[in-house]
Amino acid sequence: MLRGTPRGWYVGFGVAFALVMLLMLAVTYLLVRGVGIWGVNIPVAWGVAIVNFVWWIGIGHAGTLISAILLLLRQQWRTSINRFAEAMTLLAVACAGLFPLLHLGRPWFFYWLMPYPNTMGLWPQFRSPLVWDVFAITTYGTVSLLFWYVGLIPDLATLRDRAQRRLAQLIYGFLAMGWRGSTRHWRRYETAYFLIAALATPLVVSVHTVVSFDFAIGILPGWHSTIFPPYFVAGALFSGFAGADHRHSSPHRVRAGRLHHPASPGQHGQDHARQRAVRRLESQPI
Amino acid sequence: MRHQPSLYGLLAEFDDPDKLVAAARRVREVGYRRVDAYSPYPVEELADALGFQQPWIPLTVLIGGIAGAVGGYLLQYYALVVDYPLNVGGRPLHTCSARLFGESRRLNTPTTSRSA
Repeated sequence: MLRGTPRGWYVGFGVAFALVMLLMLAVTYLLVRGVGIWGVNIPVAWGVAIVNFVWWIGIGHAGTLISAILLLLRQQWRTSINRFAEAMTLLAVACAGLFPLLHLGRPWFFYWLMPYPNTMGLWPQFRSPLVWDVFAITTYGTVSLLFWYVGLIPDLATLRDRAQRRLAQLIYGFLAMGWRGSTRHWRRYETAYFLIAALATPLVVSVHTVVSFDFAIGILPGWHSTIFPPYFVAGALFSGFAGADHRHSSPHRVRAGRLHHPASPGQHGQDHARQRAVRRLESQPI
Repeated sequence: MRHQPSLYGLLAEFDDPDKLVAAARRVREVGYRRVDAYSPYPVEELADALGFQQPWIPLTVLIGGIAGAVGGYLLQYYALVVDYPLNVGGRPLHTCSARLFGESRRLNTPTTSRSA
């Protein structure tokens, strides 16, 4: 279970790292030259950026749906995939957030999209889909982070209890929020977790509906289509399920496996025989 | 002089969750109230066996949700109607449906708000 990082992982990581560096170069060139390098112009104000944006948001949505809906339906097997799915969602939202920022033309003024009292006396235009985007992404990012974090709390307590180094003990101890495995803790945890899942599920539909409004609200031919909101949500689920499946079967699994030690108490629904096996495991020196 | 500490509490360990639930139920029947149980994974019936309720969590979520919705609406109302009213072809400043459902956007001018 706890084997070392295989050589193939470093190869894969190297390839991915090189591609990220290529992205950095491309972004630098974009910032220097402007969005014209994408071949976009008015009335089509964003092309490659909105494609990437929609794609990443869709990937993220499936992670939320897998995790939240399976929890709401009390499907116990979700514990084998929910952490991958939620982590995938968080990272996908971060990637998605890049592209509306990059397409702004002057991304260094992105904070003008936030409603805050400023010396210019200006407010964001709440009738613009670009502002809806900002609120959709920040809301979705916040809920995804909370969902992931609340589910992680019992596992963070396990990490705290097993940490050897002082710094790790302090960090995990802080993040575990005083978890002791009391029945009261479990009851509060399950109530809160369930409620966040119930909030996250309709959010998937509303966020991707807003994403589709980036197209559908414009009256440009080819962009304006009333079928887009349901079409986008359905498309997101297909691509995202593929993403979660891929993540599940990637070398990443080996590393995530450490967090996902079956002895961690956050795993619901293990039968008692498995728990006994886990206890035997725990009694052995690690 | 030897000091005999008074009894603070009792602790029992069980090797099976069913036994733990049975014990919790029995302890409560006898009348103990300041009781708690610990488990490395959630045991469904345990909180009920101990008579433990947690009504304020759903209430907090509900209040937070309502406060967020009302606050968001008021923020937009203040920005679009009070502090920075923008006359776009004489259309109303307070357009409830546009901001709640994005419906009447196509009534507005098509290109001005599509910022690049």
